[in-house]
Amino acid sequence: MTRPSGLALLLSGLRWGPVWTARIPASINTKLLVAFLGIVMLLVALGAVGLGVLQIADERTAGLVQLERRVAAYRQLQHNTTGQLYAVASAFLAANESDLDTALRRLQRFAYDFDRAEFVARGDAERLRGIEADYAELLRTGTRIIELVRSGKIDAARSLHHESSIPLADRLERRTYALVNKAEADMVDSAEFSNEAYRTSQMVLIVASLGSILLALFLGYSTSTSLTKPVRQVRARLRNIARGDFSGHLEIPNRDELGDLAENVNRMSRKLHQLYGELESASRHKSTFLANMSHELRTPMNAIIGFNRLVMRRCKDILPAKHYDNLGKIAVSADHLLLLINTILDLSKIEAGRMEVHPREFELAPLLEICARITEPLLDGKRVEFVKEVEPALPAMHTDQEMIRQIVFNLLSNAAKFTERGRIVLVARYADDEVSIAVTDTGIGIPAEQLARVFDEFSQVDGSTTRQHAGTGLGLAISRRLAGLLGGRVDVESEVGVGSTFTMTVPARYRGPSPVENVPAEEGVTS
Amino acid sequence: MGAAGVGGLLGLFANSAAAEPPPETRTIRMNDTPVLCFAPQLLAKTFLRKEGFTDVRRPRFKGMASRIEALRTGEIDILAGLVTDHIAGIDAGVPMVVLTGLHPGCIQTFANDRLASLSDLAGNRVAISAPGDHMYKFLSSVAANIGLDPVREIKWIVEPDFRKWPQMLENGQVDVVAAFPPQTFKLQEMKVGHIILDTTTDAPWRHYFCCMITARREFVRKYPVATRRALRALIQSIQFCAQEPQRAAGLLVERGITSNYDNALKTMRTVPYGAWQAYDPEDALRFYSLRLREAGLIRATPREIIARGADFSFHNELRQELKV
Repeated sequence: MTRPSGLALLLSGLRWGPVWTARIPASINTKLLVAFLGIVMLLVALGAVGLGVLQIADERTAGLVQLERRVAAYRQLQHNTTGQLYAVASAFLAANESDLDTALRRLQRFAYDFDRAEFVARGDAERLRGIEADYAELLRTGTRIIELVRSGKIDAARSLHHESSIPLADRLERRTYALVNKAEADMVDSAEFSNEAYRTSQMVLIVASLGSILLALFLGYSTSTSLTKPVRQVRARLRNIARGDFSGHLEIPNRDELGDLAENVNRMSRKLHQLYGELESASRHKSTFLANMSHELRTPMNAIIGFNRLVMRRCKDILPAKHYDNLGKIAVSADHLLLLINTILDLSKIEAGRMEVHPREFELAPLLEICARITEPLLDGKRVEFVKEVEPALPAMHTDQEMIRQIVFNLLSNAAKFTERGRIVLVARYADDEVSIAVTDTGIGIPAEQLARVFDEFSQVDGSTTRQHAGTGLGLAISRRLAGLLGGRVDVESEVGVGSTFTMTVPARYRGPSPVENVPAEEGVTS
Repeated sequence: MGAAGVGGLLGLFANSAAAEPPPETRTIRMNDTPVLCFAPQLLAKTFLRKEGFTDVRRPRFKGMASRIEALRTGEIDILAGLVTDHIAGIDAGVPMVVLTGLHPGCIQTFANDRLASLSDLAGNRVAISAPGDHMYKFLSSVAANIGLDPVREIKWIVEPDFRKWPQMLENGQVDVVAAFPPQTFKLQEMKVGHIILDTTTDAPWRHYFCCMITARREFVRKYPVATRRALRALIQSIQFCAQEPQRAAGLLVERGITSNYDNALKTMRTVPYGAWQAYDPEDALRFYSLRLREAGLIRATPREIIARGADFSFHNELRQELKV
């Protein structure tokens, strides 16, 4: 069995940390509070470790100072031991009262140094006792030697000096050297221990700091990820729901507010799915019904229009003028009704998904010319100039010609309908494999607040407009949907009293429909 | 050693040895270093036999480093050598145990006229037989004691044949030469240079053992009785050299260790073998460890050196036992 590596443990921690945090049955507030509290406690612990390290260093420094004092005291003792030996020895050479007094005084002064050494070195009591005993003996011997010198017994003094004083002084010196060595060795040990303690403290501090940083990062990462990950999941899920995808399900381990939110989103999704299904079914039934009804209405309407025209043609001379005029009104109304029925039929087909695209190769310019000719009669009696600006190098298109024609005609007839004076400009351009056809008028324009609804079914700027200018209110809705079927779109720019520009943009070569469902009502609208 | 020569001394310790169990091993191996101050070790065979060692071997090694290495490899059991070498060996992790001191003060340092005293050592040329050899370590400790950095402030001149050193000093190829007896006598006879350090008389060196006795740690652990008996034999030999310098000198000549009786006798008289009883081997280790550490030649502290590589329990027991 192989042991997991550090990296594997880290990755595992990063993977499972947020999950464990999410599974804690506590509110987000509590989790955040605990995480911050944890980090604060780590900082406090780190501070405590640092203070501990400083305290140890302080104690070691105090110990070192004490040892230094001890070494200094011993060195003084060492130095004076040698001095005393010299003083006693030189007394033999001098042999005068003054030097003998000095030698004796120096011997006695040793006691002060000894007291000082004893004060700073309580730990070396045994060694000091040995020195003290040697010193007492040296003092006695020294005094005896001086007495012998004073009494003129120089040979006896020399003999005593060589036999007793020198070995004694030698031992005393050795013992003081040993004291110094011991104190120096203790100091080296203490310094080494301080260094070691410093290195250990440094390591402890580094490890504790790194540990704290890593733990703080881990806590931060786990807590934030346990919060942001479900939020991202919910956002993605809501986006899918907005697109009509109800198939997904949020799996969030959180046992906090986010867990509740996810559950609610799942519940909402299920409910919306159910409602959407019902709506779709109803819409499909409606479209089928409208398509069927339009078809059924068109047959008698064609008969009515046909027979009305026949009566008008054959009985023009025999009918009174008023009746003939009424027949004319019937013809106009019937044509309008048939147009309405055809339009509804188209819209129903699109909604029911029955409108098929039949792409084929054609030239755009002749098609625009035809649309213009059909539109021109609509401008009779109006002071409107009709201008065409068709790019000469338009490429041949490969798309549904009839749908293009229908859209262009819708846009032109709308412009003609709502423009009493000024000009209507038809512009066609090609760029980036797309053809854009714009119809600009100097008509009444559309208020900004209504601009977003101009592509809705049965929508005109207001009811009075419909009544004043006639029309079904379906033209723009059908145009946008047809453009979408061709993989394009229709945009509008408008300003009240200035005019409007409707622009259809479609691929020159058909590639498939646009995702029209995703286009919000406001998109492509500029006031 | 003639029976008459050591008979009296043998009598001094007879009772103590007889009360002890026999040694766990009858074989003991010691270095055979022809330096006169090691006389107690060179003359210890009779005492060792008395302690029950029937097989005393003396393998020869060239240079102190190889002798320390022989302790590591188990080729010898007991080693007499310079304290500074022992300390460096302990610091390097050689499994060795310092048991006692052999003697203080055997090294003399000679210098030409460029140096008036030891304090003029800085910037001068010192002869050594190899980089890091026994003299390098010892003189580095001396330099550290007077506040010099031996690596930077001394120029070390390597000449493997130490017999050429007096000539080199005379020719001005080196400024300082340190030596053991009998080399010291040769330098004195040649009247080359003057002594700037005599560890027999100069403080603080005269207060410490300069040569010590060390054993292989495994030997001490495995054969404690043999260790104690061997140490007793060596101490008896030290006492013999201290008390019977003429006889010891005679034996050194008789055994072919030296042909010069006068030099042997001078060594026996000048090296303070009698100091063994009064000196503290632990303090010697402590003093030289401090100096070697100051010189940067070892890393361990004196306490670590003593704890890791010294066992003076035999020394203390025998000091009580051999109250001479």
